[in-house]
Amino acid sequence: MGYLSNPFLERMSEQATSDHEFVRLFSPKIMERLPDAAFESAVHVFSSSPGGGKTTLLRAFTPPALRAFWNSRRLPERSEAYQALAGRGIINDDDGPQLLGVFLSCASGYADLPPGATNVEAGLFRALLDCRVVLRSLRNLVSLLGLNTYAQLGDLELSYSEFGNDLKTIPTSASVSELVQWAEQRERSVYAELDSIVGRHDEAMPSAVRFESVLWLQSVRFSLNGKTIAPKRLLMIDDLHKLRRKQRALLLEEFSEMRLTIPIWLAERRIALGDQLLSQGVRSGRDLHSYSLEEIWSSGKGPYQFCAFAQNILDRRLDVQKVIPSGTFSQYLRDELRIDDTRSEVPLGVAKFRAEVERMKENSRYSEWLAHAESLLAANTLEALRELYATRVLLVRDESRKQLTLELNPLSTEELAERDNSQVQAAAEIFMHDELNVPYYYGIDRLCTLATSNVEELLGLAAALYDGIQAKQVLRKAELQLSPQEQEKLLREVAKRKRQFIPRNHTEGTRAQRLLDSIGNYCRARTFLPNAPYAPGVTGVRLSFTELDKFNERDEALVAIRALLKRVLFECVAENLLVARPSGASTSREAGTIFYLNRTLCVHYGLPLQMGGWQDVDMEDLIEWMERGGGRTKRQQLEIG
Amino acid sequence: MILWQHYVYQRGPAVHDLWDGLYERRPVKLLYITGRGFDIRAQAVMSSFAENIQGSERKLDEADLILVGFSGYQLSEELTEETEKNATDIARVFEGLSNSVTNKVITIGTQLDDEEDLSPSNALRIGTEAVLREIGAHTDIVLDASSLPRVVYLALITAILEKLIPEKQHKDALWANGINFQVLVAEDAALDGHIRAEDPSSDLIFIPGFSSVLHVESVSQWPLVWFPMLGEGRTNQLRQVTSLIPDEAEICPVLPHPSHDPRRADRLLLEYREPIFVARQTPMSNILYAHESHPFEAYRQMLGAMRRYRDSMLVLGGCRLVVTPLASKLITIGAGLACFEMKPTGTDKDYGVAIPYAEPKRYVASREVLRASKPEISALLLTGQAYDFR
Repeated sequence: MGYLSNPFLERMSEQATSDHEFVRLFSPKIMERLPDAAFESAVHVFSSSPGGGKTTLLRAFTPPALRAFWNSRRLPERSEAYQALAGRGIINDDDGPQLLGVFLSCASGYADLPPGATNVEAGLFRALLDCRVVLRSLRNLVSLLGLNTYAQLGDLELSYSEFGNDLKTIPTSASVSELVQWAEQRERSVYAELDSIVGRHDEAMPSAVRFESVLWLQSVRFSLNGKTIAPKRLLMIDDLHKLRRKQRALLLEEFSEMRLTIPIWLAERRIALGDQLLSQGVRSGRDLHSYSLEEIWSSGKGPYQFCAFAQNILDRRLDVQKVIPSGTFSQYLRDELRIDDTRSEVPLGVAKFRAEVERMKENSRYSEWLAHAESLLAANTLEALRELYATRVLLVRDESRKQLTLELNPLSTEELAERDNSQVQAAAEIFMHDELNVPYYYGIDRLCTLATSNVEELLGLAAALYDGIQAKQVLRKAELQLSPQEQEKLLREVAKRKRQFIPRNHTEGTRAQRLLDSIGNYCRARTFLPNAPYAPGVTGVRLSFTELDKFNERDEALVAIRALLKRVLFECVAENLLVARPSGASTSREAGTIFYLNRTLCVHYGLPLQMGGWQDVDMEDLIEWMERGGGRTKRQQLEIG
Repeated sequence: MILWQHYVYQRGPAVHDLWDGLYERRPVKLLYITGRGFDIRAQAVMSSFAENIQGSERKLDEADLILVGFSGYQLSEELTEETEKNATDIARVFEGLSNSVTNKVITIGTQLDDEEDLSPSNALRIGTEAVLREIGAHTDIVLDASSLPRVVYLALITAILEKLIPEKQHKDALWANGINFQVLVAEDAALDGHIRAEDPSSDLIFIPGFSSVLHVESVSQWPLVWFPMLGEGRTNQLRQVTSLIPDEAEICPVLPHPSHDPRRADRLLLEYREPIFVARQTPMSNILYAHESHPFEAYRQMLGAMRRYRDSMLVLGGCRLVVTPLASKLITIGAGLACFEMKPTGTDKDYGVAIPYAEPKRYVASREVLRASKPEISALLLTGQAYDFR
């Protein structure tokens, strides 16, 4: 790989990374989360926002990577990955890789094929994909066997199962070299025509009535000196979103309808899913299975496993560089506040508390709680301050309860302890951050949360922190570890840049930014209500099914603006700026979809990082926010009026 | 031997002398292609051209105007108004050139009728083919590159040359049946620096006819030589293209030197230090210097370098030559000529040329600065009577 001053900036999916480096940096924890069904004979579609790890996952199953894993199987730091692969029969300890993984990208010109009559266009697309699958399979076979050129496959024998009898276009009687020649000549004839601007003859280009290459790949048998080579197959097609809509639909439909005996993995950005992103459920069928990489990490034990996965990635990246001592990345991120960090904030917080509870001193109901608070005031520590903030929240909650009580005795400290819980404590923490600037966004766990289950985002954040550590090295600081304040400052800058970049990267970027700002403002307003009713805070908004159905209504006056909102929402979800989660029905509300803010954006808006609190909004609110900004719902505006 | 061993190139006031000689005492059926954009330099070129024709009291026999418009760009209201005004003014000036005038707009980037999504490369190809179809019995073709995005004028230049010069090896190839193909450029470096191109598209665009060598599977193992032609403020676009360039590729950055600003090349080196010289460990000895204001010098430099690399790398089985045009117009046109000449014919060649680019989606410029521009016109005569050595 070319030298990069920051090892967290390298993208493993890119060609620039060698197989050796790829194996070094690859974290096998993703394989633990892959369902076993993904290795069965069917079509499996992996989707994620950009940087989610799709291409990296596919690349791990290509022959050069598998050979690199096998060659380094004795190294302790590679053994986990090797065991994961060996456990699935993909690599054999003695014989090496057993799987022929065929990897192609749809970014290689399919969308540039000339549009034309449907069957002609489809025929050319199939013909081109077919010859590339054949070529790539044979090339990968060369890598699998540790050879250099096709010519060295001269002794390889090809035979076919009964599926091979159906092949009409791909020559089954050919030797390896004849097959290569057939595929190369076919592909070049397509591009000779495409590269000719003057006097092009579209009718001279090849055509195919079906994707024969899949049938070929699952029926062909390779043997060398009587020994079967690569008995397992896996066809991987990346960047499906680069295809034209019709091409993508054709590929999915025809692949799903085939009688498959090998798994096919397709990878695409979520933006290709279109409007389906806003609807519910997994779009799966008998032979088509969909997996969202973000959902893999966020469902069940996913969040904890993502943290382990993320740390594994960061540690491997740190090992690659030599500027600062290697080890675990977390060792450079102090994850606790010390007395010195909050020396000025604690007295300030204490003073604020005193001022705010002054009016409650007259009420005997709170006398015990306030007495307990006095003891905390004297402690003058951060933990005590957090307790004070929690107490303040509970005081305000009790004060604002509408139901009158005839209870004359003061509320006991046991009652205080009972009402206090982790959510109130979490609310106290974010309130301290908001009012006193006590650091909140620091530590390895919060870094992993900020990544919002996206590897590229994780690396972007880590890159900023690495620059900070490097700067301390250059300045000859005694301690390289970043303090919570230093971490928060760097992460805030990343969050700010992320927000600023939104208009540049999206078709409706300005509207998207306005909408997200409004959601952020709205969430802030709900989070920092004095009684913290949605502790630890609100980080998302929800549209009920009734509201979502408005996207399909034919109200002429509103159809254009609603379509625009849908497009903006869909792009935000596709790019992981908003995380869509289903919300089930309950006795008091119908089901719907929650749109949580990207966790890094939560840093920009000063919101907590827990995924949980949300508020219902109307479509009209979102339209208003998208067009004019703000962050107040119509209901709130009417209340003020 | 190279195609433009001898060439015709004039700048500034000398351009009028060229036009005087070119249009004197012969029937002229003109096809004038220009951009329908916000850049006021297109008006400057048109006005200068019309002034020359009308000043000598000539009337062209026929004059066909093609305004090449673009969809898919985000422009401010100001720039959109400027676009409309430019189009109207250009058409009005053009009407005075002949008693037989036609005016057509060809827009690049429109959606197909059945709402099939169109890739940027396909949109460019379709637009280029539409312009080519307009070439009929014309004696003169003028392409004003001043207000055209670089992908468009490169596509048009190479496509028109391919139409006019079907056999590059022929000794009178540039005669082109007597059709005079002229490229005009109004340069204003200060204005170029002021116009900001932002938000490079994530979909790379390929100049039509210059893509296969990066797509064809059978040549994907050939060594690759990349010639990024560096210009100010385009590192984002460079990074988009970098995803196509393998780690082991040979990289030859092209810098503008000599330049009217002697420090320009130094500043570009600093700007591109990280993505080219640090990340890719490109040696400084790989840098190519091309004259900023002399397209034929840039053409010779680029063609020479591409031929040398091709000849050296053939021993490795083949060679892929990739040019990314991020520099100013005159150098870019020179590179375009080199790519046209270098492009192999037939399917059996063991090298190929590709021109990928990341077209920006947004342009930002101030109307006042645009209107204050005072460009200098350059004229390149690429084919026709000046090359009649029969």
